[in-house]
Amino acid sequence: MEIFSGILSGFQIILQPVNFLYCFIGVFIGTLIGVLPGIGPVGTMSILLPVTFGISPVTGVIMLAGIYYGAMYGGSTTSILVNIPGEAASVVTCLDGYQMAKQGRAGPALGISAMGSFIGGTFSLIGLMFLVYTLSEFALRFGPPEYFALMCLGITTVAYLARGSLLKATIMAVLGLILGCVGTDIISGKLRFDFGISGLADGIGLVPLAMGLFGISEVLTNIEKPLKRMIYETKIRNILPNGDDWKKSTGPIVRGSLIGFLLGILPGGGSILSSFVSYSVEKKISKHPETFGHGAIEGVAGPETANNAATGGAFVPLLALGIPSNVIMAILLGALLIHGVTPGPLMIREHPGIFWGVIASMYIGNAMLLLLNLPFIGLWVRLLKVPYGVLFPLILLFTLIGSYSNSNSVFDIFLMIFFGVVGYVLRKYGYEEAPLLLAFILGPMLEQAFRQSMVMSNGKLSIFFTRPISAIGLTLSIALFASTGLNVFRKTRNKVT
Amino acid sequence: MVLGISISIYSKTLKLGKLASPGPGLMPFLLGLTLSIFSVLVVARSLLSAQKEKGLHEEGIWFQVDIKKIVLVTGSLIMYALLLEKIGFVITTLVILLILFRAVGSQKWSSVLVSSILTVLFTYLVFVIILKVELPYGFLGRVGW
Repeated sequence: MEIFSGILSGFQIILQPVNFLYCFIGVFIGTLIGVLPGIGPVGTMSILLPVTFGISPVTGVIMLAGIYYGAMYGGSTTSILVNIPGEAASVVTCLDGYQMAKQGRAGPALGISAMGSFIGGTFSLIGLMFLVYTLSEFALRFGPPEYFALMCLGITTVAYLARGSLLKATIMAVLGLILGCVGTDIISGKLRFDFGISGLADGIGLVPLAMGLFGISEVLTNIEKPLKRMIYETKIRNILPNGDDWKKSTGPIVRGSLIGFLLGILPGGGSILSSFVSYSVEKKISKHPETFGHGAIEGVAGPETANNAATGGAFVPLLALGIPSNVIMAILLGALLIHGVTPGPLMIREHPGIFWGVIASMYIGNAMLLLLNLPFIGLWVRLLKVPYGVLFPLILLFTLIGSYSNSNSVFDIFLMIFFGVVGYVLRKYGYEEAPLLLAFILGPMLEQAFRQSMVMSNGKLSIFFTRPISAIGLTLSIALFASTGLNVFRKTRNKVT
Repeated sequence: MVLGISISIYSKTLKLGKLASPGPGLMPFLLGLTLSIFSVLVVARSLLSAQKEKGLHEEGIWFQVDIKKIVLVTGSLIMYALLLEKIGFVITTLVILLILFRAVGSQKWSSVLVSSILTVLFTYLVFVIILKVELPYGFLGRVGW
């Protein structure tokens, strides 16, 4: 079996000391920023992006991936203990997790969420392995029109699922596409939008853009109001859930794994959506829905499993098709592209080391996280006492050093500050950065696919609708768009009349 | 009220889209067009809702925002970028940390000083010695640091 020899070679890669170390660093930092509110996985990954340039691509991706799923573990801790989600995917966990902590059952809540995360994460990895393998064989037959359609679908769904209004999210996506056009045109070599600034000739770097939007503007958003400190009082006893807890949680964990994995595959889905869906499913099928919101362990086990299972699912489209399904995957794609590796159907063949190495690293990483989180939970909790006043200057300093070392030019620092301030203002007005960044990374690929398709069809747009897969993709994205368009129209009409 | 700033950004990008040369400019042009359509929609909507709930939003978004802090932080970041290559990593970093710790963290001067120096040493160790990142030495040269 090719899969087995593949995963074996993957384990050989991850067991090399360097990779093992970076995997540990990744999950460690992931848990850290998951616990600390104020900076999320996207910000951290973009800050650490320049660090990966100095190491081999497989090591870099192992670390970045570790941050992602590590943050999912860490995020639950603060939700449960202090009712503040460390990152967005743990918002639901607050509902019942914090109630459990108030009833003195913080230990089992933390325990079950770590166990659930581990089970969900491992399950989705197995799914990921098999699915990517089959899907990429299939995707080898895809041409530019199919890719164009799939990327369109990806961007539309991300905009569709954005928290704010669809209109604003779409504007951000289009803005991202335009920013992606800056620099030298790939086909004709002409300079576009460079305003005569030589620093822009190679386009806007992913690093300053991502760091500005997710690092600087996040810090600015956090310091704008007087700082409030939360104090955590409860003691944690009995990390291990008892038999009764297990009996109640088995169902939610199994369902959470499935929900998380499947929703993770969908573009724009990811951890946040799957944790919400899992919670509402558990509440609906529960025999005692009234206990939800009052410390039901099912309400912690399900969503926490789902958000970790989603991390595995999210890798499927990236590894099989080369199309990221959310911002975090987009940053990983960016990191791979900078290293000259193009993810996609050919990746298993051309870079088997990276493919299997990363998958194997996630098995190891999940196990590391279990060890990091269960016995040492007290240490992480103590971290909550680190005052923001110390944290934010450090984050800012890291972004400064990171953007400078990216290309050894001050220009990137200015670029980053610019995007930071712009991102901050846009945030204030309810514009989300995620669609922008995703579109920015997909932009050049999208344009290339579009123009290649035009060459193939001698300039006939119909090529997108005569090929079945691209037709389905485009129709779906148009339908998504139209449905919300109608909704908006109806709402506005209701307001007026 | 909502989109004063964004409109100006948008109209600018639109113009640029039209100016681009036909071949490589096709995509930007289409995008510029889409963008302007959507921004018109947003403006229209905000105008509609503004009529309804006049004054309600006035203080909403910027309420309680510590503008001074934002400006201070942004300003010091820009200063850092300007001075980094001239003065060198160590001194510039020390200065910006002093400002940031004091302004954002609002701690006592003594602890500000200690934490700034420690941070500089730590980042120097991690980035320059372990990760071997080339940071500017400034006028002090390699001997200075």
